[in-house]
Amino acid sequence: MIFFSIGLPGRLAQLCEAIIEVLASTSGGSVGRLAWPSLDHMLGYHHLNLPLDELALHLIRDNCTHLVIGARQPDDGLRQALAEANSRFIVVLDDPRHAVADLMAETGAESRAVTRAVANSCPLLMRYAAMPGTLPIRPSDAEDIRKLAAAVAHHLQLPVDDAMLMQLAVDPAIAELRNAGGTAAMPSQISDAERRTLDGALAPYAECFAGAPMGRLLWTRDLFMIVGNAGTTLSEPLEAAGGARYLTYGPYIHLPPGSWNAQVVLGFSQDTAGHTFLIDACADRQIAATSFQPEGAGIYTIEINFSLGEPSGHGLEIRVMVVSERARGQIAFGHVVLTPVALRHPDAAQADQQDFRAVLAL
Amino acid sequence: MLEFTIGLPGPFGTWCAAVVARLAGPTAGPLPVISANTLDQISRSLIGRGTSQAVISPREPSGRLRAELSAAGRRFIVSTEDPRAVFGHLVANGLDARETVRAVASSCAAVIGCIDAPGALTLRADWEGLDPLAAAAAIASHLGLPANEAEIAPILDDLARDGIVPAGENWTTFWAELGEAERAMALGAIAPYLRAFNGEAFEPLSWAPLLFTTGEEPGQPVLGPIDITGRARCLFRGPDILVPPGAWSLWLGLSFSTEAVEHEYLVEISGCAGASSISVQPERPGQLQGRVDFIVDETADEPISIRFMSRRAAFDGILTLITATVAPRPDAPETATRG
Repeated sequence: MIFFSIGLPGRLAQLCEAIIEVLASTSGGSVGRLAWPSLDHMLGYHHLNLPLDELALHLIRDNCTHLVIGARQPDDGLRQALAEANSRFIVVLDDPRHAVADLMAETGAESRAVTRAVANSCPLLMRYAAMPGTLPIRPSDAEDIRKLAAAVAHHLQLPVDDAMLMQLAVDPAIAELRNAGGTAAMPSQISDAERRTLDGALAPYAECFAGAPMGRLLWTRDLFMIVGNAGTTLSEPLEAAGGARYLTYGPYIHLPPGSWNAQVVLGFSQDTAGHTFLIDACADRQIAATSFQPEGAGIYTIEINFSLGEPSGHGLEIRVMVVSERARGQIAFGHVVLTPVALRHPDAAQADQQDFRAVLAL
Repeated sequence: MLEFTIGLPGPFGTWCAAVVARLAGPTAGPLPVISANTLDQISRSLIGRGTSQAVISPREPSGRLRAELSAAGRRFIVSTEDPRAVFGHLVANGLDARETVRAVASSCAAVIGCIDAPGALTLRADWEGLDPLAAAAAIASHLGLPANEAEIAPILDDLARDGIVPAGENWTTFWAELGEAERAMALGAIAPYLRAFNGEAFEPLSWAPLLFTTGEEPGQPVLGPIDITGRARCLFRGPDILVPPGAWSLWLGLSFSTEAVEHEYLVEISGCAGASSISVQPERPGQLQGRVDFIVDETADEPISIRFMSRRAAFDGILTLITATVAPRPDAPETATRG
């Protein structure tokens, strides 16, 4: 059997996969585990295109009887394959901030990269959570391992008895992972600025996973990059002089499909007055843009609206460009507030067709 | 747990896969047999069936799948059988002759590279297939499946009751009843593999015009002279057949009318390493032959497709495709050889 666990790259997902592994082993034969994609891949800047090849490759190399797949950035191709097969799977709706803490502890990667990796998984998970065949698992479910294991076994149609549930409850490896279900402590080295970045990019997803509507996201300047100096953050003002060019770009983070409003907060010095700047949004191509001329020194909020389809490619990018060749002065990058205007429901395409048929009496 | 049986889409290939499915299957029943050629197809099929245990039976295994099997040190079964028999078997079962030639020829091209691959046990229909019990025992032994002859015999009886036997119907009778053009089309594209399966030198493949389609009407075979009148366009394309990895020469035999000689043409070949193309300017009317060299690398999965195009509009002119012959280049650094 192949068992899919769709979840963020944190310990709650690992806990669920460990439980499935133990449960599957009672069916006889060996059990393999595949975390997909690799953490290196998640932390890099790659296209969101998970070839299903990995599944067959693992079975060829490992030759296991059963396979537990922990899908961390499950794309639409896998979603369609699972939907067509009416597959049963679990969706682990961990608090994304806990997943960041786990991932930082596991990899030692910087918080910006980890926040981005987890933020890229969140909109994908939302699509799976709404599918039939899903068993959603939340952090509170991990408080009672026996109950959690029984629910997972029942949903995945795996045989289980009281003795096995008892064994799982006292399994030291399971017990260690179980801590993921509670209050994950942030790494001590995380700064207040990093915490703001984390909360801004991920807290709305945590609320959404808990049942609330999708709220506003805040991308702090720490998620963005300076053209020609990608390694540094935007903590200092940028010089406008130097000809027409892009100043900032990033963060390459996926959003749930739908219509969005982005408020880009920028600070301008007096010398920039009368010069033209361009703010655009790209999702592998430019999808919205607006030009702006500051009248004088001050903080300005520039708005752009755009629509996004299913997450694909590199994710969303917001760029700031100097248009005037002779621009002068300084620009400070504040943050970007992203407000969902209308989110596309996962089964909207089917509903659309039904509506058309009803209206047109087809 | 996956087992692999690679073979042509004929009776012997089907029998080998069915034997492995029963030998490797749990007592509840045989494993499912999945016909998938690429890693992606295998993954999708497994998700669709909700299983991680199956017999994968690719008819045209992709280069990457072949490479991964070897790299993983996996043992697998390769079956070969007379491609003419496979063609006869499939056409007798109602498949279109042209599509069957494409399928069998492509299968031969993909399978031939597996015969001597590490981990392969190669079984021939005209040799091991004559003793099914011994063949099944060899399969079990090679794959490490626990079964002795006393257990295998009833499995083979069950398969026979279901009509799954190593040899199909007598294809020579069918072959005799086939039309001359279809017989020539099939023989040219698939018969050279019969000798190659035996380890003999690879003879040139001959692709009949019937395997090509007119440029403007997909699916319409080239049945005779092609009128080049009109805008610059693709005049014919095909045959969309896999060729084994190696260095090859394509020889195109064409006939041009006087008016057609005035024009320049472009021959493009896809499915090979890089894109091979060559401009053609006939020097005189009548029959001419031109050569294009190309290389198929080990990981190539795309069939060879030739596109013959006019480069500018023509008011008049006729050309006729006479032959398309593909021969290995023995002088090239990558020579097409078995394995």
